Amino acid sequence: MTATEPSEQTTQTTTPLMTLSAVSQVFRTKRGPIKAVDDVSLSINPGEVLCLVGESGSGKTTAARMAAGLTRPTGGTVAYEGRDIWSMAKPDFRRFRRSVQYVHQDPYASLNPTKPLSKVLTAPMLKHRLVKGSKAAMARAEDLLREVDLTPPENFITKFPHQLSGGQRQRASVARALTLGPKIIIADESTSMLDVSIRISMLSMLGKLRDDLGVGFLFITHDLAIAKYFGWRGKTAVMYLGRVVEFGPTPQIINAPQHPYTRALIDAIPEPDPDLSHGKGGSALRSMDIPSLLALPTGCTFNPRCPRFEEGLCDVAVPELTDVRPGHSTACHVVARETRGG
Amino acid sequence: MIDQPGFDLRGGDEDPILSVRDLHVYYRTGAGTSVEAVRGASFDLYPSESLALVGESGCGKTTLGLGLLRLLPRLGSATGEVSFRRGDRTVNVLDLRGRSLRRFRWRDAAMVFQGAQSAFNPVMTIRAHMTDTMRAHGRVNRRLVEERAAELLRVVRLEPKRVLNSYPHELSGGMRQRVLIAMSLLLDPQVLVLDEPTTALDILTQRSVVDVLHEVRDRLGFAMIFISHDLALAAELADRVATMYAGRIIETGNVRDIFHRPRHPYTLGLIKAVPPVVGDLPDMESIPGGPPSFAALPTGCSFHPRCKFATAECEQIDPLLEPVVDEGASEHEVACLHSDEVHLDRRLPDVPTRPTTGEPTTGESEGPQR
Repeated sequence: MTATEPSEQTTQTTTPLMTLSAVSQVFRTKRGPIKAVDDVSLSINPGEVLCLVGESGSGKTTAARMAAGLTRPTGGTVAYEGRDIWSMAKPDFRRFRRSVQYVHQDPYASLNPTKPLSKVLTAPMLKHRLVKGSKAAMARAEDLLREVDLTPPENFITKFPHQLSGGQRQRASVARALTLGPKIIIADESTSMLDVSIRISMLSMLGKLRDDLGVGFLFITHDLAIAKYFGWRGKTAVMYLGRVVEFGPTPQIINAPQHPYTRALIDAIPEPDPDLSHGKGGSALRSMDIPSLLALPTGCTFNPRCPRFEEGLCDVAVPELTDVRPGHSTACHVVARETRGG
Repeated sequence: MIDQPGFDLRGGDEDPILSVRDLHVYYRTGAGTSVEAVRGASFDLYPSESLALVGESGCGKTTLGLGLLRLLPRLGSATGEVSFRRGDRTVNVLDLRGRSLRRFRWRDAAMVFQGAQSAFNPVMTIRAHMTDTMRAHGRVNRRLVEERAAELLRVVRLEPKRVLNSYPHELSGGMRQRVLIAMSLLLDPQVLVLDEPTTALDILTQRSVVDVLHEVRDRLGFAMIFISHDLALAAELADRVATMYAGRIIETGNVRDIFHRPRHPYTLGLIKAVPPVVGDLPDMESIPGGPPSFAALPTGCSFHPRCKFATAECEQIDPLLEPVVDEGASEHEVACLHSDEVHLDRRLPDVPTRPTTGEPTTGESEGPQR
């Protein structure tokens, strides 16, 4: 990416760039411990897209923060290029933090309102000594603005965040994430605050980065239609109350979802066609409200809402992720029984 | 046109409950200067009909909604005619003053604002919010007020006992949105305006709000105008759709005409910007650029700088909303010089490709599993 960065070939195609192995995150609160993420294992290969899908409170952001090294997991390990990030030496950890960049949900809150884009973009490069001198930094900043389609760059580089629209701000946030030449971008609901029409152009721009620069993505969204559009060639993990309940190639998750929760998420999306959506009827879920993490249901945590709930099966044991076909796994007792030959 | 229950717009030859003619809204921007944020909107809303107002942020949708209900901020002013039918009398909303304006707001027409978080007083319980509203409009019998509040909360699928005693922060975003809908219906309005009712909500929460809206409308039969940038939501909730761009209604019609045969390039662009979830990966297209500033509108058709159908004519002529010629009796109207060239080339796959989530008990699913 950047001229000064030595070309590193530490990754082979066989080892994933980043691995989360059985990570958990328990928050201690006055009302008791909250297990926000429970035993989650995920990996991202170079240039690959991994979509993390689920409702608010499903632990998507907590998992992403652990992947970015922003919070230390209370259990399990996060490895970058095969090495545990929390036992790395300082320079290595710093290099890891450079390689994994976070784009937040709210572009109104994530950019410093007192700094023009020129400062927002050059400061990280100068701080990490990736460029020599402010002139080179400015030239690089302009390149980055072009990369995120804020053209011509001279119209934008002097602007303050309040002078930009929501979509432009989010592009600026992406440009900032690119300043350090990341290998992975964690995009946390990066398009959910944007207008529908802007969302698609934003996603195309991110897709271009993925294809042209080979940047891998951990793409977080609550909308499976968006995951489908951005992560079609990648994989999707569906999270519910801190656990991964379904994982597989995105086309299979969308077109042949196995877990009742994934199905509910797909069914909930309104279609841009009245013939399809008017016939849809109400949701099949037995309850609309997500249980509190402080008082999780016994057995499968989805059981109080699940349309396929079976007493004596689903409320007893927590289901493990099991393969329904190679590369596609789901954590559901009922589906597992059928797969075994029901 | 297509005859199917649920798409019948009129239910007879009733008169509109709300009739808007040539509505203009201006915002004062400084000494002697102003911008025109709604530029001559005209439409009718029939009893128990649902009309979607769609368009990007900054197209004047919310301003139009506020203008209809006389809720504009101090710097705003409206001209034109908004006739509301109250029994057998018709009033011009823009002329209402004092008590009769108070009556119009909330009793005749209510609005659910965008952002369910900021619509509440954080130090008041939901019960206090509801009784205050009723009392302000002269309903003082404690027991009746409580009964009405509980009844409406049950309609929006909330547990009255728990919710009435809660403070706003104790409820989730979706619950707050449903409480707002219940509150807006306290005085049984004939018209309900909802501004982006599901934006910023989770997908499953969106679904519950949409289901609740279907249900309350079936039960209470009010007419509804809802404002959204999400075309998929309009496909789901609307009988009729009006697309707004740069302060004008540029296309209006039956929900099926709009989605299957859009005739304005802007409506087409908005439809194409929604990724459908069924089927394989579609080619998506975005509308280049953003809506223009009201202070510097392009000449001619305001959409022409972003329009792939635009010709030199479009820079000169600002087209009027006219009936679509070749569609017979439909009420499809469009303001575009090139409307015959606009076609939706993508049809969504047929319904059966949708995963069989309807009958969870059969346990059928595609794939090599037995």
